[in-house]
Amino acid sequence: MHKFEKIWMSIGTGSLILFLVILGVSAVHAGHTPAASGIETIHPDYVRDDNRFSEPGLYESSEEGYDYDLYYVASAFRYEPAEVEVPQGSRVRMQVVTTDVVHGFQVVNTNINMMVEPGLVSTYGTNFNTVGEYLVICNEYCGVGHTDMTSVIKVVPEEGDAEDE
Amino acid sequence: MSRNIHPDNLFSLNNRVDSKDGRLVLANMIWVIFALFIGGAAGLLQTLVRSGMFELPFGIGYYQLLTLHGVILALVLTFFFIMGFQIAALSKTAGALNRTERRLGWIGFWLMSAGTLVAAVMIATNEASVLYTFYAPLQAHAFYYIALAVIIVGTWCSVAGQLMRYIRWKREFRGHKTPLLSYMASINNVMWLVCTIGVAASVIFQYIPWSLGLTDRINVSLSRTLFWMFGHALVYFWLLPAYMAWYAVLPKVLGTEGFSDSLARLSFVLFLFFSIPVGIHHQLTEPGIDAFWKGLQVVLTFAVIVPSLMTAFSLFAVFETHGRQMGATGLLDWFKKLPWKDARFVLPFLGMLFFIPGGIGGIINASGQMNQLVHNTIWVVGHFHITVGAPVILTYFGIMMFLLPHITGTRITKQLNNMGLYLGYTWTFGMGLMSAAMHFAGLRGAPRRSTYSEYGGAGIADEWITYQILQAVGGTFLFVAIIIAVLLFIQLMTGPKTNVPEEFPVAPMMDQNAPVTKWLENWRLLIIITVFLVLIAYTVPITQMFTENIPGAHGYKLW
Amino acid sequence: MTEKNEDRARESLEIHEEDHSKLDLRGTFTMVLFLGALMFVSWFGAFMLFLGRM
Repeated sequence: MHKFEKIWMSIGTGSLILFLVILGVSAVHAGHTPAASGIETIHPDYVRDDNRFSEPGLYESSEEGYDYDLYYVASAFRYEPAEVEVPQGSRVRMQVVTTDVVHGFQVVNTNINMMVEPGLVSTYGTNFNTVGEYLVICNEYCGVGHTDMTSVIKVVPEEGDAEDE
Repeated sequence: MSRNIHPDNLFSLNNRVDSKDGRLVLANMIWVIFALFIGGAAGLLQTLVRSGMFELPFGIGYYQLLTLHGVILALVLTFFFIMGFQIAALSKTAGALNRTERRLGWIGFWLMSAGTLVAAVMIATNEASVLYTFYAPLQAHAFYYIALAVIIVGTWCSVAGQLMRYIRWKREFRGHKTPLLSYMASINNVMWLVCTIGVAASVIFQYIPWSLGLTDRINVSLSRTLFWMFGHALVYFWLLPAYMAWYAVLPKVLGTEGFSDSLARLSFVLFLFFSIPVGIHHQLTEPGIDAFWKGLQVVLTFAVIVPSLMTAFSLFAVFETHGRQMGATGLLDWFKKLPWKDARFVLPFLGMLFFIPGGIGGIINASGQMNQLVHNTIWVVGHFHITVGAPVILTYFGIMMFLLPHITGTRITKQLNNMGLYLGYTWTFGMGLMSAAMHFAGLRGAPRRSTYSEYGGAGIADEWITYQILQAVGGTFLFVAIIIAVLLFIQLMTGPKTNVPEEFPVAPMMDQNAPVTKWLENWRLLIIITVFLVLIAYTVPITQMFTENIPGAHGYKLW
Repeated sequence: MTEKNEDRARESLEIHEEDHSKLDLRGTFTMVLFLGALMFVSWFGAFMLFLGRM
């Protein structure tokens, strides 16, 4: 092996290991594990029988560490709720389910981007820190009306109790 | 006739692709040219639709077209090319195929052809607008899944013939290094046999009974996981033939030796090990898989980057060594000594340039939670267009430049060589523009696999459309390049016959005479390690998909 | 392989081993380091964007 080749392979693999270490630390210590990881089942035919998804929307969270739970139901070709307000600065646990095929739940310009598959609940914890309107789209092909699936998350300045439903 | 080429004689110019094998190779290559044209036309129309300035006529659906584009380019074009090229490489470096081996090649060819035609009918009649990944529970006509299964079985037949040819050489010359190109083709074939088991099981035991109505529901997580166990190895199945040419053919085009035989073999073995147990990096944002197993496969994915780092070094080393032999003395002036007028070099070289951002983008995609930044955005489409859509396909083009005339007994004329250069530059410009626009739009959130939409007038969607117009411009240049390619390949096959046909360049390596590295030729060991890694990476996640009682899903036809 | 051939093979192996370390690969080294730097910068760029959207 040429001397330069050895140096290059050390630098190359070294950087790859560094990337992995950074990802690992960010996952374990900052809670940035990949979205939707884990297994929570739900029957796709009886999604509505589940309290959380009968009237999806924003609710105060009973989970420790979260201010709100935000529930979404995806189906061909719409999201429920179609619009939701979230107070700025809140820590939100998002849970999304589908009643039919696979959908891709993506909130544009955020890291909220996860698959929604029949039979499973997709969960992701996040903060909404910046005021604005965020477009929600479907990024997994689900049929002819795929691009009609939208919703809007409005992050509004904290004042009063506008968030209670 | 079908004798093994003697180890002392591996680089004789008299070694040519056998004429009967040549016909089989040519049959495969004709599908490549046809698929390129059809798939390219579909791609052009897609970019035009997404620009918002064009609507599809005759009730053709965008997703129907997208299914066609994916199936015919990602599966049909690549499979026929790989089978054709590997048969040629074996015939050239190990010796002509015997009757059984060649017959298996033909059976494979006809099965693949039949499967392709049936799949095409299903797509054309709008019975299968489920894209080439056919994610359940969107449910296509059963014939679509059967057709895809037949195509895979066809590749198995062809691969079996190729492996038999390789083993025949190895048996006669025990203890010798097997010819490099035949070794590499065999690595690719073994990887293919292992990785297709998952998807074949999924299609046969899940999709076909379900689409026939024999079963009511399908386990979606399981089907996706089995698909991606194959799906990522698939991209290496595309890439390794290009690497074969980079390692073993290009140095000869330059007129020099390859950098290192053992390094080339080692990198291929690493690809064999790490191409399969990494599919979950396509499922990083999915429910149904625990974070730990996602993490483990991310680590394994990073291992598959290592052989590409090795490849980068050895390619630069060949170029530099060649340039220095030609008299270069400065730090980087050896670049000037490369054969910039030779399309056989320029086409793959342009591909290599694309592989730099392509590889880096791949590292970002595979970086665990960072995948959320880009998952299912059009960034990903940009990424695989500068991996399979440039380094791989441009190298395939470079190979076809010499392989077609080598087989038909003609030569590359100056004019055809120039056409090859124009092809390379047009492709590079078109792909550069299109893929850059895709990457930037993807970072701004634009989704992949989506027809033109204004998303209810959202401001951000407006920005995406600007990028989509650029993609259409790039797509148009790419289609022009495809027309050049088709005309070029037809002329390369039909030129006047000569007594000294175009050479199939195969370079000896600088360490050609170094003794054999035994474990690299120990196939039993290689296969055991490969299967072992697959079991480590997949046993628990797949078991969980059975034991966690994930409810199955009905089929839907939503197009 | 005859003994003579083996001798020749060994001889050329030594020559070739020699060859490899004697090759002037400064340019190659520069190029791969450039590649590594590009990889580094791009990855951290993406990571920063990821953290920014967290």
